[in-house]
Amino acid sequence: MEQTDTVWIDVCSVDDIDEGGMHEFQHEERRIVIYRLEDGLFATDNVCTHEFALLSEGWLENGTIECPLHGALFNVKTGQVERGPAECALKTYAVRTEGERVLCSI
Amino acid sequence: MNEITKIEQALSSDANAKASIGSLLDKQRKNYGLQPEFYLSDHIYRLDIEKVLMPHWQCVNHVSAIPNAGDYIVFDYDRESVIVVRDADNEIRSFANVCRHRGSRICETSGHARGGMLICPYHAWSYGLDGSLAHARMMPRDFDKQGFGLKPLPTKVVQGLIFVSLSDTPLAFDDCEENINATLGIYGWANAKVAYQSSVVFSANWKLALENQVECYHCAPSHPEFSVVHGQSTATEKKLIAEMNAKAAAQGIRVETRDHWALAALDGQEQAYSNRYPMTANACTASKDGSPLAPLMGKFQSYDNGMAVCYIGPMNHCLSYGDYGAIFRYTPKSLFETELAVIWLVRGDAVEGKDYDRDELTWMWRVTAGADKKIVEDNQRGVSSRFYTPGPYALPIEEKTVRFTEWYMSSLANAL
Ligand code: FES
Ligand code: FES
Ligand SMILES: [Fe+2]
Repeated sequence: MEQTDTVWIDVCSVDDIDEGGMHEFQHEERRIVIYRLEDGLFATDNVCTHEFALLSEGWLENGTIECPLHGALFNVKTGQVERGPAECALKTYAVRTEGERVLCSI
Repeated sequence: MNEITKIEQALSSDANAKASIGSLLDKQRKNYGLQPEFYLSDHIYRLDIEKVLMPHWQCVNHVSAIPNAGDYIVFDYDRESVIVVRDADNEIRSFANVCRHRGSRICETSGHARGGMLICPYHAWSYGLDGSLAHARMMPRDFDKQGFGLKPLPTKVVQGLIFVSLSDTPLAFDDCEENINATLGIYGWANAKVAYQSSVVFSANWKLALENQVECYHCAPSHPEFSVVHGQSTATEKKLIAEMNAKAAAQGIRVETRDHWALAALDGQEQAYSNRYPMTANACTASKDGSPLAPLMGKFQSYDNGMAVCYIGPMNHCLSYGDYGAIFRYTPKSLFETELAVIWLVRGDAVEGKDYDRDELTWMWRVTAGADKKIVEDNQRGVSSRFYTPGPYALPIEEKTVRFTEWYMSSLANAL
């Protein structure tokens, strides 16, 4: 699924993210958050598509992230909005591990 | 100490209020204007709102004003404010515009709830279109959001008209519903659309605005434009009525009328009134020269040179001509401020610029409402003078004004 020009960023170590936890990082202008679910690692933009709020400060539950500001719900695997007020999906990013390292494709 | 200061002092204690208002009501001469205190006293104004008007229904707008899910109207009434919203299932719901956190107004003006959420601007509590509290920022995870939804208000939609009540125990609406269906229904209001709306604030007590609204004694001197096309109470009127009814009957149209208005309201029911009036000879509608303005509405295939009026409660007056409708809604804002909203309706599929011209469509009632503002404000200035003493109403032409004031005084007396 990755393009040939995909750039994989070395983000952190697997141990840096608790099960059910999140890890945010910035790459150039971009703010991204990695979620660790039972069935793997996923990543989306960290800024809500509604107004300005960081999703890494929200609530992660059952594969959805709740925005801390107005409570929009996004599916972290697909980025889809599950509840407003956000109207646009979040951009998602592929994540993989290489040994102990977590890599994210930009 | 002047009379108003005296009455305000007397009314400031509950025990005295009854006696003071009682003696004012006793002073009232039959078929005479109201005592000045009724137009000037803050205490009486509070009673007007809380006891006299609260059980009644207000017409907010036509459903076509909020065509999409999430569209909402903010309707302000005295100190109250209501959010009327179209929810995701296309149901029209109303809520008190008061946040369940610390009570802030949530929506300032009408608009669209982006993403299906009404968000309080103060601390960002977010409510769904069903009024439920969806998110309360930084509150503990175990906070019980269910107990903090927006307060729902009684809401009715009849022939596309949205009505709300601010009361916990509103008057029954069945008689009005029947009346609206039997009159505005014939004119196809359910399938109409809002062509234009305007709002003017009269610097006057709400009762002066309504006394003026229900009489046409002032029409000849104050509304020359109106008088060109609307029938007056003259000898020829009987003939015009017969012609109007014949023209309607020829199309299989019968508009029923009823008079359950003011003190004639059915027990426990909101006031319902309807009537039909002829236009002047050959005038089709309320335009500059009586010529048509928009496509015919409802069951009408041709003009019957008449119109229908339909009153819902004391504050909402609807008019329908063959080709357009107008809602007149009076809303008290404060003791000396009353809003008149006018909402023009045309057939739902009419296209502006092609089927009707907005300025021509709205001309008659923009001019007429503007003139009413002036005469009602002059009336307020006059009754505020220490030289005002109530004068006799002109009967029969001011008969409805008499009925309005009698209804008012009886409601106030019952509330004491
Ligand atoms: S900023 Fe995220 S829901 Fe409003
Ligand atoms: S008052 Fe509305 S969120 Fe605080
Ligand atoms: Fe008038």
